[in-house]
Formats: sequence, C-alpha cells, structure tokens
Amino acid sequence: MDSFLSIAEAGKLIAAKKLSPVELTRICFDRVAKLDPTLHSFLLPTEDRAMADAKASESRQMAGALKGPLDGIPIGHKDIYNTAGIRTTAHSKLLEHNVPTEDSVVVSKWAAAGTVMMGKLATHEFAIGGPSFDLPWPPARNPWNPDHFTAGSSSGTGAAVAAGLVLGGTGSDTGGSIRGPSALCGIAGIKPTYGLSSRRGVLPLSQTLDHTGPMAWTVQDCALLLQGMAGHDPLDPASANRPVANFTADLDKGARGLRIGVIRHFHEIDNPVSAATKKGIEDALDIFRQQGADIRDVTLSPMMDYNAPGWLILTAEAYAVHEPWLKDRFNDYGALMRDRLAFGALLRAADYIQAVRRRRVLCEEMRDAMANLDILITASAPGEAPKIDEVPKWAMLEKPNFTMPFNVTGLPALSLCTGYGEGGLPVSMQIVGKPFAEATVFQAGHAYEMATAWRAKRPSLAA
Amino acid sequence: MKWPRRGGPSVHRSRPNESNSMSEIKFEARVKATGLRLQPDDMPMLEALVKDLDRAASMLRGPRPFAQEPLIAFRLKPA
Repeated sequence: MDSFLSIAEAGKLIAAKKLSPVELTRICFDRVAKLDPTLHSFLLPTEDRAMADAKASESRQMAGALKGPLDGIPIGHKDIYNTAGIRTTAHSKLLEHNVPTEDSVVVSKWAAAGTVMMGKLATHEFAIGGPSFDLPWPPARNPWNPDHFTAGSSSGTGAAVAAGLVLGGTGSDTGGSIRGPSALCGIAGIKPTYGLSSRRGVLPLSQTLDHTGPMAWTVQDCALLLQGMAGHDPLDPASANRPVANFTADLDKGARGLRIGVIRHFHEIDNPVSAATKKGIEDALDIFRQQGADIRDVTLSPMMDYNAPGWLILTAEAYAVHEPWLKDRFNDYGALMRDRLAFGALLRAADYIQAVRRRRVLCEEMRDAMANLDILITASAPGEAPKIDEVPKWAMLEKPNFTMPFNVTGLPALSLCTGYGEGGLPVSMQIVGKPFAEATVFQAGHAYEMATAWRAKRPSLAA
Repeated sequence: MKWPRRGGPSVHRSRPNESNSMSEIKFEARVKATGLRLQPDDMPMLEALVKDLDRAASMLRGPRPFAQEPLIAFRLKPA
C-alpha cells in the first residue's frame, strides 16, 4: 500500500476490498504516535472510538454494504465541533472539561457516511486566539517545518492532514480559518457558500461570518467530504433550503471554457505577495489558458475595503458571544484571546451598522464583477509560513488578508497548494466561485492539481 | 445642575453645545463602562488596538445613501 493515500484512492481500495479500514486506521494512529509529540495537532485522540468505527466499516465492506466513498476513511474534527460524550474544548481552559451530549450536525453526517473518527484536533482558542502558549495544550506546528506557524484557526486539521495523520477533517472559517491553514500547510480546504453546510453544534465566533467546511490533501477529497456535510438544516438560521449539487460531477471536465477573473490588484498592490506565490498564480493561469480557459483581469474595491467591515463585524459579534465569560472569567482566557476580544466592548454600535451596510454594497459589487465570469483567482496567503514565535500579536488590521473578502460576501472559496517557496514551505492560491457553485470551483482546482505534481510531495518529517 | 424649565411636560434636554458636535468620551471612561476587569498593564495595548479598529471604522463612516439598508434586513414568510 502507498504510504499516503488520498480519500479518493483509499475509498476505491476499500470498495475493491483491497484495503482494510482497520489497517488504514492503524497506520494513521502509528503516525499519530510517531509525529504528534512534535506537531501537537491532536487535543484528544479517540482510538477506541476510531477502532470501533473502523471495525464497523470493515463489516460493511465484507458484506458489500459500504455507505459510500467516505466509508472507512479516518478523519478528525476541529475541537469546536461538538461530539457527543467526547470532550470538546475549543482549545480553552474555559471548556477544559466540557463534554457535549449531542454531536454537531456535520459530525453526525460524517459519522452516518461511515467515516472513522480519529479524534479532536487543535484550534486557536475559540477559533480566534492564537498561536497561544498559555493554554492547557500547546499550539499545533507546521509539518513542513515545526518551527513554523500553521496559521489558524483550524491549525490542528491543517497539520494533521498534511502529515497524513488523518485523510481529512473539519475546519471552520470566519475570516480565513480554513483557507489560512490549508495555505500554510500545503493542503486543500474550502469555505463553502454561506449557508451550504450547517453550523449547528459548532461553537460560534461571529454568526454572520461563520462557515463550516472540509480540509483534505486534494481538491477531489474536499469535494467528497463536502458532499458528506452539505445540506439544509432547518435549525440553523443561516442554512440554505436548496438541493445540494453533485460536487464531483464536473471534476474531470478540465478548465476548457471556464471564464476566469484575476483580482490581480489584491495580491500585487493591496497586499503584495512573495515571488513564489506570484509565480504559482501565474503558472496556474498559464495552465488554465492552455486548457482553453478565458482569462481576464478584474478590478474590485481595494482589499482593505472588504477587510474593514469584516473585522468590525467579527469583533462585535465575537464580543457579544463571549461577553458573559469575559466579565466573569477574564483570566481563564489566554492572553491573546483576551486582547483580541476585549476591545470589541469599545466598538461603537453605529460603526457596526455602517459595516453591515457596507457589506451589502460589497456583496453587490462582487456579484456584478462575476456576472460574466465563472471563477475568480487571487492569493490565499502572502507567502510561506512565518516562524511560530514571530507571528505578530495583532496582525489582522496591519495588512488586509486575502480570505476575509469571501467571508464578507459569503462566496465559496478554495485554497490549494501551488508549489513551494525558497524556505521549502508551501505557497498557495485561492479559487472563488459564485454562490452555490462549488462544483465549478472544484472543477478548476482539480484541473490544476491534475496538471501539476505538487500532490506527490509530503513533508519530509512525515515521509 | 438643574436645567431651566420652559413650561409643558418635563423632558430631557441636551446641553447646548457651541461647537454643534458630540463631546468625546475619554478612553478610560469607555473601558470602565464595559465592566471588564482589565489590568492597568493591558491599557496601552488595548488603546492601540482600539485605534486600529477605529481606523478601520473610519473607512466606513463616509457619505452613503441615506436609506441604504444593512445586510441584516430580513424577510418574513406568511404564517
């Protein structure tokens, strides 16, 4: 067996009875034992549960009754997803002993699809405060170089997927928390359209910006995982009541005929990216052009115009969520989380409302810009991962980030690896689609991955 | 101080303001009003963060159509 398998590859082998889910799960736990003392990607491995899941999957395999392409696939959950009977901490002292009584909707759906739950994965505290060194657990580290940052907040999922400890996992994304770690850890991750997958049972940060979504080694794997989590949830007020598309149907169509807009000013002027990141984007555009895509530049408002309302909304809504604990248990938060939240108390209501008014205008601008396009392309991150001890305490407003515009507008946005920089760490790009057009985003991302060799390389630490 | 009454029902009146603009509330007073028990050491950092956020907010305070709706406007379904 290949030492690293994608979900699609493992699923095919399991379906053909050439791979045992129990054996696959054992291999993943062996990697956890070997690598996680360095990576700190797991907060709680759930080995008993995983082996029970794997044995149940193997029984279905033998009976010819597999539930689908996710049956027998080892996955992990970011530790803000509630898991019934299994500790869910948000990586925080405040919830150190919190054991939910119900699964979140996404956890429940993936379990019903036959996945093997390997455990709970590290996050930044409550999906915002990190990297922090004063919490009950250390922060996750980047498998490409453990001295470096994973980005956040789905830090454990990014590290665990890149190192092959799990084949996929959940993330959540309020300002880039799926796409940031996907970018810096060299994997694929999608923030779906707002409302496509349920947030019920996931600890909130900012309700009008929060999204749930999958992270995996390949774009195809993200499509498979999203298929298993998308769908209307009548008890999630933001959930869209519409049929779920087939996310893998267009995967093999290539980029021919796709109309691609490049938001060049985002990554060349508004927040100039590294040479390797820029080259990765230009090389990707060449690939799409060669495959028959129509490529043109797009001009939007400056990226800071999207970031300013995004951070105001996030700050106000996150403070509203945390205010009771901030007042009673201030010192139980890590210092970074405290600082990132406390000033939400000083935000003016009028500024929040102006941000929400501006948000509508920006949604309309993005809609108009995409009227004659299928996808947009820009960077996911400025460059390679910085060292973990050199991450600025508050970097959110120094330079606009590439991910927030698509939380503000709710559009589906995929981060994928476009190569490696001078330091040997991954660089990335972002593919953005129209609302509920994830299938087109996956089509373009898969076409790119099939035309490049980046997916053949894993972190040397994991090899 | 008691404001002079001009007859009719008692109403709150704002203090006459020669500059015709709202008075600024001091940072320390704003922090105190939140009820958070911040350490004195945290105050300079917090003030810097608030200035950052205020810089972002200032980008949103420009002229805009009077009736522009926020994104949170909602639709009701018939019962």
